[in-house]
Amino acid sequence: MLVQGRRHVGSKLAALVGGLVLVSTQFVGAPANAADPIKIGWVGPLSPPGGYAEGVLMKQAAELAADEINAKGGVLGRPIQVIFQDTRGQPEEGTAAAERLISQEHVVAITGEFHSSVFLAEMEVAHNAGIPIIAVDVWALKITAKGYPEVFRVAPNQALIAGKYGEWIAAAGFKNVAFLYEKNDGGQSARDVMLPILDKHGVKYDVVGADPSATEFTAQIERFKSHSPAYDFFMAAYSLAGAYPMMNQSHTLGFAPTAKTGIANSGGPAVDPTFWKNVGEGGKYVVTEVVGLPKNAWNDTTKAFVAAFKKKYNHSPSPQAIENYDAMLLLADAIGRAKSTDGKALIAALEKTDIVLGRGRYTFSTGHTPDWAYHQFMDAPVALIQYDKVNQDAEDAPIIWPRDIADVKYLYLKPGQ
Amino acid sequence: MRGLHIYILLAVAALALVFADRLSSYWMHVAIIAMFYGILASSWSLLAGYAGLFSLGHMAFASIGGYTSALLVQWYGIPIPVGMVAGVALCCVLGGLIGWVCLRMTGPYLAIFTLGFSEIVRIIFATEDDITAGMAGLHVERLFSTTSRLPYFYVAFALLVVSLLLMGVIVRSRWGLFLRAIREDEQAASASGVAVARFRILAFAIASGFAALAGSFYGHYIGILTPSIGGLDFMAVLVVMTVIGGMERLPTAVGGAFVVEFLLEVLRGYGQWRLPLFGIILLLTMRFARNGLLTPLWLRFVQLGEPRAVAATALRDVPQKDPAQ
Repeated sequence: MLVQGRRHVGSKLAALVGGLVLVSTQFVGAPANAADPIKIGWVGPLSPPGGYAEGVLMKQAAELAADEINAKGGVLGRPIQVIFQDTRGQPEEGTAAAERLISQEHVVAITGEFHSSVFLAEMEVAHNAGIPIIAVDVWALKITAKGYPEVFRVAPNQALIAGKYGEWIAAAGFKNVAFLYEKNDGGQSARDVMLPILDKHGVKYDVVGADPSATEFTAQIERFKSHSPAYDFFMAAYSLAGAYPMMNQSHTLGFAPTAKTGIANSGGPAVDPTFWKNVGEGGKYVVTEVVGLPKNAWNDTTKAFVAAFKKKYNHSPSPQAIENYDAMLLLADAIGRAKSTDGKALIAALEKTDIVLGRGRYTFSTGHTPDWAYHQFMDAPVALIQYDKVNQDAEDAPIIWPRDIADVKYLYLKPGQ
Repeated sequence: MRGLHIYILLAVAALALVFADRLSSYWMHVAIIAMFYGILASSWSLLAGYAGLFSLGHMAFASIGGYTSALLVQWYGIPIPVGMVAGVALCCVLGGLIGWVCLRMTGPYLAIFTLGFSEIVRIIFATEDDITAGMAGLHVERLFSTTSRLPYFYVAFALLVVSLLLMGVIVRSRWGLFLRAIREDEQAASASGVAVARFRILAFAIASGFAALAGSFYGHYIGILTPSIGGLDFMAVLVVMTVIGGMERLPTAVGGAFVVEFLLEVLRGYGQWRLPLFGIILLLTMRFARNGLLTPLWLRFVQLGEPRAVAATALRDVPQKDPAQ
């Protein structure tokens, strides 16, 4: 019995050791083959609790860019392959995704992301590995302020976006603002940038923070509505799905947009293809930002991208989508000029970028003044639009700010005007 | 050969330590996160599995521990280990207080109370962004300045082993017996001389301390903390890990954490579909294997080298407790 027992144990041990050896081959990195496609990593939210609606559009744009690059023969004679990783809006998932892309998939560069807090975790991994990473739609100032050579940003940051809102609110003559922001990276940094500008112009305001997962704003809006003196503007900084019920409830309760009170939302949902389906009549007169070229300044790349995107996916691209499309083309351009996929060579090539793509002429600052300027696309286009029709595409809405590209005479169109 | 399983575990641990540097950076990260969850799952097992206190506030203590350590290090420049100890101490006190407040609560009432507590903590961390940086994420000083993950692997390993040893001593002592007695029948335990109130408070304090240890390590490892670590999302993952592994034994809870964390990564390509998959596994586990999927395997493993008759008797004696009872 004892001998049989030992044999039994021995066979189990052999199986265990064999299993460990088999499994260990999965866990130890393998060197990349030079004949493989050039792999580019993509990170972003594709499932809750992240902003997955935007993430999906960004992913589609990256796929479209890769298809177009490959249709033209790829880069350095090799096709581009995009490896997608869902980060669910969680920093720890972002770290894991970046690690997986770099050490398992051997990507030569990473792009994507919609959440600043997640990107801040991802860029640490890229920085340690010396892999370039292009931030697509993350606005926190500290992303480029950290001064990492690997980190580039095609999106405008909060200083460039919220600053425009602040200046426009003052120029449009609003005197008393109700400011509602979501308690996340985007909302907080919008608040931090915008309020000093309102102070500078003597605009009064009250600030209320709301949970990013909130979808019920009735009580808060009723309080805004009964405030004395009455608010003449409702500024919201909401990037997640809560933006839709917030705008709906504001409209239904008769707070804004009305002849007495204007409304704006910063953060992206108001230019999402699902905006009108969710907000309906309440979306008319809403002011929001577009982080792409205004339609009257579209170049050939912009027009070709919008047409190709609509054809492939049967809906309009969001500004985040074209940001991601351009980021992919920027990487392909840098690889082509560097004639290498080495991290340092790519970073050097990206620093010398000078190319016209879907959002204008791209260059990256190498200065450190202000601190967020390093590797920032300083001329990232930002325009404020105001819908004057229901179901209007963002690209067709009148541009009201900045004035040098505005295509209407008014600064703000009041309902009933 | 009696105790063969201990020798195997020691051998596997030694192999893991010796060959850790051969893991790719990614799998090393996964292993570190698995060990982080291992500490949380085992300490939640101590609370929910051994003492029967089904708390949904465990991740809140992890976040309190993480923020306490991060902020103390940032404000006062104290060494990180001291910050981590401070986080653990604070959570032991807070956990004890929560245990005291909900002394008369059991089952769903306790779950709802602790869920409310964890939401309060999460909202405070999100709202007080002047201090915590809110959802933008608090930058936390990293434990090591090196870019290698290897030192973190060893620290996580050491923390997990020390936590398991300490909790193992507790559950094998009279205290562990008292905790199990409280779980089975509080009134009977009290009638038998068990100081029910004291041991319920102790269970909360000890489990919360270990949660804080894990949370503070997590912050100093990832380098950024957001209030979402204390949210229901993380807590749900922890429950899935512990229940699938087996919540009435520390090793099976840790095994559940390892299995689920590795599967989550292996199935990453399936995106959001991997999450409902674990929900289904959880439902099937609750229906068909209430002691967890790993418990029978663990019991077979600990019987390795035992004469077959003894092993068979031990396996027949596996309790099939209904958690609803």
